[in-house]
Amino acid sequence: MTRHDADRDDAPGNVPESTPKNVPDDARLMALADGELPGAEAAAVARAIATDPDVARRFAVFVDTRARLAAAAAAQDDVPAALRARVADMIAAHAAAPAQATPAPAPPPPAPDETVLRPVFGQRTAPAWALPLAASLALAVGLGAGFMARGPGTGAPAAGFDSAAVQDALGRLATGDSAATAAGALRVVSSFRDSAGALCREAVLAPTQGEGALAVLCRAEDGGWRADLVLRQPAGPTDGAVSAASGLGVLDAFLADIGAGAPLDPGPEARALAE
Amino acid sequence: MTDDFADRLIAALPSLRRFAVSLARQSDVADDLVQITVERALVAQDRFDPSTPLMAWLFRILRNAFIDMTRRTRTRGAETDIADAPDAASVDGPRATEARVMLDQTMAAMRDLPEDQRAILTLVCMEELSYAEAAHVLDIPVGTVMSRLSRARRALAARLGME
Repeated sequence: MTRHDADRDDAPGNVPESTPKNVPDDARLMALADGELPGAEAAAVARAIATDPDVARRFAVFVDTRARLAAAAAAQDDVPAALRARVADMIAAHAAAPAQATPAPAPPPPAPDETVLRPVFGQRTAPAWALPLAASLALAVGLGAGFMARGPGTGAPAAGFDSAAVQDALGRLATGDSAATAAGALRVVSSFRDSAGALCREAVLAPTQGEGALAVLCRAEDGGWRADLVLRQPAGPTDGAVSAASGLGVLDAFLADIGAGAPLDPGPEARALAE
Repeated sequence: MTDDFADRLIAALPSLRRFAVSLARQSDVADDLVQITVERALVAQDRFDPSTPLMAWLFRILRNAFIDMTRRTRTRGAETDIADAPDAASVDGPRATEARVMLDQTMAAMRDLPEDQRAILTLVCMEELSYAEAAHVLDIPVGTVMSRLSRARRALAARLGME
């Protein structure tokens, strides 16, 4: 508040001197319009509204403004798909590696760089995303979030996403569904197509112990799911807020690079999986 | 984390975004605010008292995030108003109805109001918080909620030619 005089009529029961005692003030009229006036008082105010056109007019302002804003709210019920996807990612990341409710007393030391960074870009050698990704990585590494990316056939660790059970589940689970596999609990976060039209899925794998991982996997020529990006989720106590957010920055950069389309709805997703 | 909490967070997204838009007036900043809010809520969920309204708790987180953001970006350059952003309005041209025009007028009038009035109007009239809940979110006494809200309603009505 910058205007100190603005809240001078703090007390809702204040009746300005110019207002006769039996005429309800704005605070009471508004409270009635908002359903905040106790029954007995509401009845008295309602009588005044019914008998005095001026009071009725003032009352109408509060009813009408509320109605206009309620209608505006109803018309603004949409949430951008990209925001929904980001939120789903965050929730999945937290499910895979629950953050501590309070900051951990002693944060774990950052993982050694060699285990954190494995940027093997495989077929995607375009430097376009290497730069922003590198910048994001510096942040992720600094905060102890693990990251690896790999191309096909490089042999980089895929954090269990290459196990037969996970590969099978990736081919049949709908977005939002989970399956228990030998490699851990798999949850599919979203499906989309990349710029080349390949079907890709974002999924989280949470082993019963050890670190979990979030991956973007795209269907390869042989029908298998190739993990093109793997973001590790440290299993121990972490500063969940920061590391998850920076990890998502990496994910966003990656998705932008592969030209990820909008998330597929259940129908198109089921058809794409059946291809 | 319980799935229930996650489900409630997802269900809260439209409300959180409306509040974020009313504060930030830019859709991209609003989206960032919602994301920060969800992230903070996930981290702090164990501190949420299930016997209290979740929305008031979330709105409070969002408003604090907005205050943090405002502090940090005060020196940033001119900002695009959401009215000028391509995704703000008229995306559904053929479906432009009277309701759409009303909505645009209402939101345009809202944007002209001071931030504290936009916040209270959104919380009470759009998100249906009680005065007490709005007071909690904004960290002000209930009496201030009422005086500010009353003034904001009259200002909005004047801009909409309703009085």
